[in-house]
Amino acid sequence: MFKAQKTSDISVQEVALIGSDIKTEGSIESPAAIHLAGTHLGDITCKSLIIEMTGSVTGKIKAVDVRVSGMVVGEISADNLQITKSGRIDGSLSYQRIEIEDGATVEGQFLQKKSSASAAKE
Amino acid sequence: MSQVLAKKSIFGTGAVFRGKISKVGAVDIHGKVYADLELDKLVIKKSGTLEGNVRVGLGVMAGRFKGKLHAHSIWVMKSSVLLGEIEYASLQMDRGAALNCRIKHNWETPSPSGSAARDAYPADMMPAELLPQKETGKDGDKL
Repeated sequence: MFKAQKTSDISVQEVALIGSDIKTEGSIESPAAIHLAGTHLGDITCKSLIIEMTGSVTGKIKAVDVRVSGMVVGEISADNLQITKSGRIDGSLSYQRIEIEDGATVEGQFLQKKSSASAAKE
Repeated sequence: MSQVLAKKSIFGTGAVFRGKISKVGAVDIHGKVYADLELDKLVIKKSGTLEGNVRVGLGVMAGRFKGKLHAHSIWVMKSSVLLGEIEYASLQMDRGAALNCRIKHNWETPSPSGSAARDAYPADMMPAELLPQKETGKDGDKL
């Protein structure tokens, strides 16, 4: 379900990467992908967000595609949300399509957003 | 994730970061970063902007910097624009760089570990001071 952007679609220069030992505090905005292996306190807005097993976010996340293999405390708003087996989430989830792998830990509020296509039919 | 990448951050083109970054070893900036940094190696790419106070072992500047920079070694490339205060022990500047800042030379800065500094340069552009010292033979001793 989660479609990672092809390497041809996105150049290395457009990707934001936070290493696993690094702690950031504040806000990150990106028109492309963010690859988070470290700890972030604050909000993230981007097109595609991948939170590695070592990654954690405390704050609000807004993205088109989100894959969580680490930990999130806060709100996630995404079109496509994937939580892998190592993912842990405590907070509210707003999504159009969601996938949760067996073993993931999720606590909080779920809200399915209507896609623009289905909203147009009504 | 490798040990090198574990302490590295890259902010891609279009990315904007505001806040604090800690425990970082190296940062590559293609986008915009507003933060105070203390690290081994900083590379501001041509499209990159950094505003804040920075203490760094080696800084390679091709983009825009505004703030206080305290560095052991700085390479200022022709596309760079620097505003603020700079304190350094070793400086290399390419023709065309735009500096509107106060610059102070500081001999007392401890020397860098070396490896991080050498890694930042392409092999053919390595400053002589960062090259491994060649052993001098008997002929060299005579000269």
